[in-house]
Amino acid sequence: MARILSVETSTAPGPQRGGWVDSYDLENPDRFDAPGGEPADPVLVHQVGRGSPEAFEALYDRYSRLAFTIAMRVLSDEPAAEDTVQEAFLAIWRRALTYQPDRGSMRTWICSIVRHRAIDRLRGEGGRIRFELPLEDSHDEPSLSDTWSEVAAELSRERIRDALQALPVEQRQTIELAYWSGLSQREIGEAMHVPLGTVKGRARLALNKLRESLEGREESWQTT
Amino acid sequence: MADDLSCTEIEELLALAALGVLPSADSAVVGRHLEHCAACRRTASAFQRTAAALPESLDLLQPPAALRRSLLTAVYSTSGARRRRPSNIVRDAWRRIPRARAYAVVAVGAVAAAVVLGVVTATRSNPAPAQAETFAVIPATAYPAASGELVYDPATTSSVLTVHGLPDLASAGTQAGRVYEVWLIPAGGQPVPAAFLSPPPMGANWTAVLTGDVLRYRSVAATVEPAGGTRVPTGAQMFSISLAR
Repeated sequence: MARILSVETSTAPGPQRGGWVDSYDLENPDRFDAPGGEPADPVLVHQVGRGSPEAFEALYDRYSRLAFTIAMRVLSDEPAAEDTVQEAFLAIWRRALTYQPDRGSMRTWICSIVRHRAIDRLRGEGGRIRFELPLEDSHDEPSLSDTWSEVAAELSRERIRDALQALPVEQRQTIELAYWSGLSQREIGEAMHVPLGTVKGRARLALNKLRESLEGREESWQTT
Repeated sequence: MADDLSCTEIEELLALAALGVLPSADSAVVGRHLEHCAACRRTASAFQRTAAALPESLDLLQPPAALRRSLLTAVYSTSGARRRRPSNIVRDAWRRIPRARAYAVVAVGAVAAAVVLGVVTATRSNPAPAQAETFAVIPATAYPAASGELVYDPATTSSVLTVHGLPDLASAGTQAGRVYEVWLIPAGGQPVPAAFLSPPPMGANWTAVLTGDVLRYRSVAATVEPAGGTRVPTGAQMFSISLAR
């Protein structure tokens, strides 16, 4: 089975992305298993929850690029994206103790907070809803420095992009409108001029196909 | 929706859930199905992991350095941490209260000068005095350039508010003749008018001295109001300051 470095493979505390740690111990926060001795995410968020601004600073430095990228992807507006990221991280600072490791990785938690706030801002600004597929635009940004983690992430990035590009266009559009524009099932149906049942079917097929591509399995798939 | 849905139909709803668009009316029937269907629970988990990979397709963008400074200033201010601060935070805080402007605040009153100079000296060479507390200005979305801090001295039960990045009202078109009014906001109560921001005698810092124990309030805010102020806020909010400790 192919190993995806960027996707959490377990919802329980355990293997972290990039092979950093296999376990963590909140009672012994000095046990750092990550390269360079950096604390693992659960350790960091635990320290943030205990009011450590230094831990928060480390958390911000670890995830600010991803958070800002997500906000820009949704909003396409730098000042609005900055506001969204600031609001999201201040919420994380105030509510770090609400994070539950058994419900998903810290990375997924932060991405979710930022994306939902960005979509709320987008929807609240009079429905500036985009119907285009700007997925291709993501190739225009320059890549970052070539540390080993960035190289590994770049390989994963390309793999995920390839998997998305392999989807039938209507399935890819369904994901785009739902995930990045926050449209409801009904709004997606109206935008694509298809019934609700077709929207649900395309969403299921798209995620199944993506899952199979990312897990390296080859199976036939259907289009609608 | 009836509970007798097939696993394929449930999968469709799980896909919508993973993408964040499951109608709330359907969440209960999905939850009931997952209670007794291990296969669909595995599918739900797989769909969540797959959707979580979508942001990984993006080329990362570097956020502005000003965002980092603003955010960390707010966090360090509210945390009360004084053991160690990143050197850029100290440098930026010092730049916001340069000596020339600190002396300008002295002209406002002897009490204000003692508080500001005490905080400035402590910030530069030693951890801040235990008594003085600093709270960061959080700009409103429409006025992102606003920044500054409120320094409260419990020994004198007074505060000095310094803010910069605010538009000059004298030359702000339709805002000419208006003032920046400062409000103390209690938990669950009406804002209380507290002061007006004085225009900067030199440089770009607006200042106000607030007497009394501001820590009895939840937050501080400032709005643009007609000359002479108002009894309740009517204008646009420029910034806020959380007094949570």
